[in-house]
Amino acid sequence: MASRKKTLLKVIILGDSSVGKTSLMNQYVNRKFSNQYKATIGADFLTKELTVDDRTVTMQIWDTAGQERFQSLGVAFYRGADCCVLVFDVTAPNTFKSLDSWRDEFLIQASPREPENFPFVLLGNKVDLEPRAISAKRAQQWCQSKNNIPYFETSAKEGLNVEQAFLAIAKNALAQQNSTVDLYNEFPDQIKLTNTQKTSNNGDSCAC
Amino acid sequence: MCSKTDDTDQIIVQRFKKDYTEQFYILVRMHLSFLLDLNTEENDSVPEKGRIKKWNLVPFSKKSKLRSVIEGAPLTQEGINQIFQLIEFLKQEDNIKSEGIFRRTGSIERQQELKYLLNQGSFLDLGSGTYSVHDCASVLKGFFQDLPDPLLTEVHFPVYCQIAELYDINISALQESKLLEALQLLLLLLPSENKLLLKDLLELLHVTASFESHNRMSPDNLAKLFTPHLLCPRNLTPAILLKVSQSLFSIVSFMIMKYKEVFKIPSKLILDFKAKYEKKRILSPVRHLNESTADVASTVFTFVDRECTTKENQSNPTETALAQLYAHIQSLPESSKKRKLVKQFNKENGHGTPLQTVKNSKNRSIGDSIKKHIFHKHLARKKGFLMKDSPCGTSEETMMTPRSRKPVLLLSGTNINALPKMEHPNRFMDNVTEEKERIDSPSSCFQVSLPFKSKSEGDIQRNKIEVPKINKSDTEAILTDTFREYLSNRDMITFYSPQDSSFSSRTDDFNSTDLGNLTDGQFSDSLMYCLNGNNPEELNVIEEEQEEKKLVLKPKKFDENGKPIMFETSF
Repeated sequence: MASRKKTLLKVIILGDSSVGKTSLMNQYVNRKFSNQYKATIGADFLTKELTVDDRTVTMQIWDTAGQERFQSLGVAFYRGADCCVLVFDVTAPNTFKSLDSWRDEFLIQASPREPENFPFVLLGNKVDLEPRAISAKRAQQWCQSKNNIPYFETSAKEGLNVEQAFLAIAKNALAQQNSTVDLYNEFPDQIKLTNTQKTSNNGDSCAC
Repeated sequence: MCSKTDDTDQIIVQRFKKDYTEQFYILVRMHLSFLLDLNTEENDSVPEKGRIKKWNLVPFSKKSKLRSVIEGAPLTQEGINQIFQLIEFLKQEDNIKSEGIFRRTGSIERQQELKYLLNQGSFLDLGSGTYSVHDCASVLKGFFQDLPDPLLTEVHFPVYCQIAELYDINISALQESKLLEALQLLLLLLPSENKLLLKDLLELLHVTASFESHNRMSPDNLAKLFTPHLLCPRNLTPAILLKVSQSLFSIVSFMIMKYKEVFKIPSKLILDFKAKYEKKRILSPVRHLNESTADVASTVFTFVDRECTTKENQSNPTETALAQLYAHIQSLPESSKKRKLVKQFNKENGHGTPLQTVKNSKNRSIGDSIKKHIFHKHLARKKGFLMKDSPCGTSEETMMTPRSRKPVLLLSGTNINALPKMEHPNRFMDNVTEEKERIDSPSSCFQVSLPFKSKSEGDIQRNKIEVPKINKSDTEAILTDTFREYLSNRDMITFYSPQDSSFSSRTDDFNSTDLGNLTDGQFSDSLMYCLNGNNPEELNVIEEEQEEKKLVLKPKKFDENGKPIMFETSF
């Protein structure tokens, strides 16, 4: 029983800088790949309408900056996400290593009700490039360890697997929406006076 | 790299900053305020350590970290030295060509290791290849991120925001030059450590961008990565950080592109600095620019230069400058700030500003306020004072000048300070009628040396008799006016201008010092001849009849040119 019917799916794309987050989104929404090498400031989103199982849904895809300083944007933009897309660059091992911290960061900041069941999708991008540093097997192992996250190998440049990946993302997001529990608490911002755990508010809100 | 003039400019700036630290900041900020709509009060705290220190109170999350040379600690020379190792390494051509330098993350473990080593203060063998270019670049970037006060300082942040709003480099070259000047001034206000490090960093980024074809990092790209670290205060909310980063990155990009130019000194500022030294040099002729210009020595040479003072009083640059400043304030858009400025202005000038202009400060244009001013004047005349309208009277009004306490002034009829004195012309008029029959003598003109109130009838009579074509307003005006008119009629004084006519309007300010100046600088020899007790020939006839009553002026003291500077008076 869906407790909330909405046809808008909020999807967040996360990953290190220059793994191809913006390119993936552009390839999927605009079917274009630009060879430009542009850093993203903060976050931006594009929307795309698609049909999933005879149902028309609007997907709002949030592209975020991979830059450290913008990670604090998280709280503002992660909340209310229906699905989180983690991206790494198959030619850059470091981007794979930081997946854990991206995932944790998201779960902390978006604070969904059931973190272990929140839908993630992993994309290994730039498969058109050589040499490969992260094998598909290694990526899949990581996915299994995280409650069987779906994994796709994509190339934003060549449009490889992008459509399929985003369809899966939409399905996962919908499935989550149709499940019996809400993703988030009714009042996500409620203040618990007894709550000693600091919601990793990055400590910057100190009044001084 | 730098041209010779740049070097000398830098030297002058360094010297000036050392010699007159306070004035240095005042001047730079003043120049900056010409370019920007600055709230000066807020900006006053820029060079103060106190405020900067406040932000060294690191947020709790950072405080828990180990106190170290580079991480999360305020900028120190030691930290800069450590960081410089990274900069040098990255500058090597092979490294700087790496694709995505500064953008790619590198290995987080290695970065932590590198940070640890830097914090230990140890020398790094970066050439060995243990750490990749991206590791080093990320650590360098992280260093700027971890500075509790951003490198361009938090106090300047609002100024940068304003610059971003005001100037768009894409619009015109003029905008670009103004943007450049504003940035040059802002960088001058930076603490020297910050400035040095910024110079190194901008140079590195500039070189990075010059290899864009290899590393794909354009100035814009680099600016996007560095703007939040270099400029944005650490306590911005995410949404504001996002907005601000988007509007500010073009400034950082501009700085990367023009990294050499932004450290040059604006020529106008150099002029001011030089002027200051020049002044100093004049006051202490023994010493020269290259020698120490300690304040002590110059006091020996402090004296009043009559020649200069007279000149000064003639052209009255202070007055003109004040008038310009006042006009500028008047033309500002209506705001609380303007009111504040007007208020401040009045306060500084002993409330000498015409009262009505404060009241009518809603008048946007100077023209309007001048009209209003004149209009009021007319009103005032009709109301209380038996003064006749005169074109001369209004011509004196041409400047809406705030009156300083200087003795020589342009006077407005409605000036509140002057109102009480308006009775004098009245009295003149009475005197005129009373003493109509009297035949006056030209020598009575020499009453100029007496306090104004004492005697004036003689001159008025003279005007009536000998200079009938002169506008009557002159009688309402001032003694010296008449005197001058009279003299000029005899070709004794060749100059006569409206400015001069208003010269001594404020009679009570017209003291003997001024007379001395006047005599010294302006009066011709033939006049001096008169003043020395010899009467102009053509006046002899009338004179005889007034012999007994005549005021006699005898020179008492003479200056080095043989001109009298003090007179003895007698009847």
